[in-house]
Amino acid sequence: MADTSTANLLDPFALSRIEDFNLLGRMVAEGVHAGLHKSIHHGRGTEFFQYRSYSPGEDLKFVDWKVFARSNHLYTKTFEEETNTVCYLVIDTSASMGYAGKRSPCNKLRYAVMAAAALAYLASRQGDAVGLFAYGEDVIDWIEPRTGQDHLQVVYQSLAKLKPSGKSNHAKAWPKLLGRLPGRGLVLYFSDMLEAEEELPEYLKFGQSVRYDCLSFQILDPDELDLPYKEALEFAAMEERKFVPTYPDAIRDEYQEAMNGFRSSLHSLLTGVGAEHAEFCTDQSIGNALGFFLHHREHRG
Amino acid sequence: MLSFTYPVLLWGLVGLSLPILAHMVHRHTTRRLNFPSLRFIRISQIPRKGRNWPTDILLLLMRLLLAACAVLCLAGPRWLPKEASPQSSGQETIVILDNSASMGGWGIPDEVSALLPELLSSIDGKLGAATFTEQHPLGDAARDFLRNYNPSLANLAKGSPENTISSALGLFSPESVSREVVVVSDFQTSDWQLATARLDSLGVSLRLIPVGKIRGGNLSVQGVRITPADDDQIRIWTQIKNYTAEVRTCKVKLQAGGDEWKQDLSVAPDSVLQAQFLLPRDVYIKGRVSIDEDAFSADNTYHFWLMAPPARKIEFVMTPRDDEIGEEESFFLRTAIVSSTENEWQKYLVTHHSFKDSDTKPDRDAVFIPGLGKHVSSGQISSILQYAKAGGKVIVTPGESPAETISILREQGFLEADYRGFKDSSASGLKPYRIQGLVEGTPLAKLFSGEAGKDLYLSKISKFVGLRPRGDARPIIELDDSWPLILESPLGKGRVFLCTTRFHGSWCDLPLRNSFLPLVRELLTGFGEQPESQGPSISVGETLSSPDGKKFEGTEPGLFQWENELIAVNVPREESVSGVLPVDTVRESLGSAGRLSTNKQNGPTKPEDELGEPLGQWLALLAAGLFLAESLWVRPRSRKKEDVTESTLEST
Repeated sequence: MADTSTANLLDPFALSRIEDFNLLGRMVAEGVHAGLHKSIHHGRGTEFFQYRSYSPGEDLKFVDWKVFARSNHLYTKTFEEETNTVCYLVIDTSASMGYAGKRSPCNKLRYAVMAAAALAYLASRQGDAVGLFAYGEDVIDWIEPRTGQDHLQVVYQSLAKLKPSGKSNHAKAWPKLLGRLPGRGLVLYFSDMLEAEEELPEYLKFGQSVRYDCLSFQILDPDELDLPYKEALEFAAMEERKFVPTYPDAIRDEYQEAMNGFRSSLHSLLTGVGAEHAEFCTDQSIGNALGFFLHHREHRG
Repeated sequence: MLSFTYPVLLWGLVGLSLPILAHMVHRHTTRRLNFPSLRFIRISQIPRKGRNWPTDILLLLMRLLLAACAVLCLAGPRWLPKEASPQSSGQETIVILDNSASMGGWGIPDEVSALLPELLSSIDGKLGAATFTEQHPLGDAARDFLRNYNPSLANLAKGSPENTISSALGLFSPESVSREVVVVSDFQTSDWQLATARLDSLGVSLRLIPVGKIRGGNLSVQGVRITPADDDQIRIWTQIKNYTAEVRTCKVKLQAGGDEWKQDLSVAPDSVLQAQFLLPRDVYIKGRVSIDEDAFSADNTYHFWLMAPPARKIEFVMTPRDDEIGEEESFFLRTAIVSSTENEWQKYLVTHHSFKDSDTKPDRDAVFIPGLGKHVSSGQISSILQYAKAGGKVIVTPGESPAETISILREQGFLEADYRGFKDSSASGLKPYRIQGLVEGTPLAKLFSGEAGKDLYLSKISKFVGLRPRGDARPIIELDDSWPLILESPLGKGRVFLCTTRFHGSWCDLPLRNSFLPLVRELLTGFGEQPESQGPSISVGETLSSPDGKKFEGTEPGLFQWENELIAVNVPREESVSGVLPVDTVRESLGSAGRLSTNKQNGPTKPEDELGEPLGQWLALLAAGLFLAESLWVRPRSRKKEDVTESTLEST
């Protein structure tokens, strides 16, 4: 299983794959697409965003001479439009995210954290502000989006500390987040979304807004898809005190049908509310999974 | 080999089938799996697989071993070494066969021959055997002895049940768990009435098998007595006893030197009648009296010597010529001895002897030292002392200087009494001393019963040496105030009789009384311990000892010459008694309440639970280890830190 240290969250394999794609397909309209692998875009936005130190070679027309007169130091203006999106990493840290089957290199939360870290890096390179919102039974961690490498490290550290526990309380967490969303932004939601096909579309429907994008990454373990067990087992729920003794061979077909139905239904519901939805199995490479998603977005964009 | 104190608990091993059944029907549902969502998982019927083998074989074996250890531990296992194996530590039986003379009559041999095989087959475990004359320790030799025993060849000796039982108990091994003594006997009254034991307290059970219950039809030649008759003849008195309840007639036959004399006798029931024969003296040497064959034939014959036995030597130490009292005393004693045996078959030869220093040959019956004083040299005394120590009999009377006599006795070391002075009633004006009553049951009391006793008690003793016995000395006859008249002291193998008075008129009037001769006679015979006047006659099984320690054992009836003795050996007449003791009486006498259970532990019998090496604690340790291992085996598996899937519900 991958080390939880921050350095390992940035899987080079995943990162190399992601750099081939335009992360923000839908954000092209705001100019995000043009900002890929480039320095911060200065673009002619209407709203002043912030000053930054003048770098030799930059266009002098954006130098604020009044500030120079006062401070005898060259500063250029940046405007809101040219920037980056606020990227919120929303991660479900409920107990069910702690499942790891024998075919998986790690549990679902670990997989989600690595994917989130990769995307956070890309976003930060684009000048995106990256924030973190992790919840289980309650809000576990909440880091307001900011830019900068230093802030990114803070986000990485928080990601590394996340542990699966408790029952996922979407109803408690999402309103808090939604009330703090910036004017525009991109929400990257990582969860297994089990038993939540009724709730989540309601909370993720903000994706329908032109100001927000929501990409939902459903992380599942291969065992949850095919119930591979041969011997009779007593299944114990990870988020509640419930036990079901059963013989998997007897219910496998039924289970798979129900599971597929759930997945299909969830996909329909989420995409129906404007939230991009993609499934990832923990036995798949993170790079492959994100690449597949970005490719899908690029074509859709 | 392995043995168990409570073998019935081994039935608990049947319970080992329970874990096997449990493992056979056990459904393989015990593994719990934490799963993200049970939304689409429902309960389903776990298919029953027809198991031919139980699951978790190793765990099952461990549980079986644990259960077996627990059961075996409760059953009290013990490891018996080879010498304590059930073969040797189980039932041990000693069969005591009464082989006294009476077991040869009344059809008993046939009865014993018939019951022995059945008895042998009924006895399990180790077997030992004993008779009144031999013993066979536990083992095959004893069983062979009993198998080949011929009751017709019964020993002709008197039975000694108590000694035999006591010896037989020593045949049991220390490791025996159950002990039994089986006695096959006619339980004749004369043999068994004084037999006692404490079998119950020794943890020995007793089984009595009476034989020869029908005891009728026996006549017995009780004995023969020979007395000199007139005209160089001897009179032979033969006693015939009828043990039946009816008048019996028999022909009494006397055989001697090839000649035969017969008499018909009609004996009343349960009574004795004498038959008398007159034979010429000194013609015949050996004689035998017999009667007709009957139920018990061993007592139908009596052997006796027709030769007069050698005269017994009685030697007197010579007294000084100037000792008149001594001379008279010696005269009285010599005369009394000769007179008392004048008409007896056993004669006494009285001689004087100087007793030189080296003369220690114990060929005399008794030595008299009348008036012991300085005239008897220390060498003589030492010589006489040696004679006494070798088994002789010394009779001493005091001299006119009693203190001198006491001094000599003390110097020689054969005075076990305190000198309390010379008692002279005449000088002090007191009444003479009298002889006190004799102790009931003693030979003297029997001799001096009735009129003879009156004469003895009228004797007056004027003078005597006051002595108080100490150590092993004991008074034979006492005077008033418990002053001993005759004091007996053991000395080596022999004895010293110290008379405190002189057999002289100046000291006492005993020599003038009718009781004097019988008293002297008793003195010569050692007061009842001397053989009969017609010579030694012993029973089969008895032993005769000479003064120098030699022994003659009467092993069979007949006439024998041994040393200077003519010895007649006959079947003990006690074996002629037809009376038998009830089995219950014998059982009670032997301290047995009956057959004991093997669980009754009394006395030295080693309880079964003390045999061998206890194994319970080792099995308990093994069971504890197995329990620990089984517990560890089936304990709930702990969650791995890196495997969130295995997280317990505590985290929720």
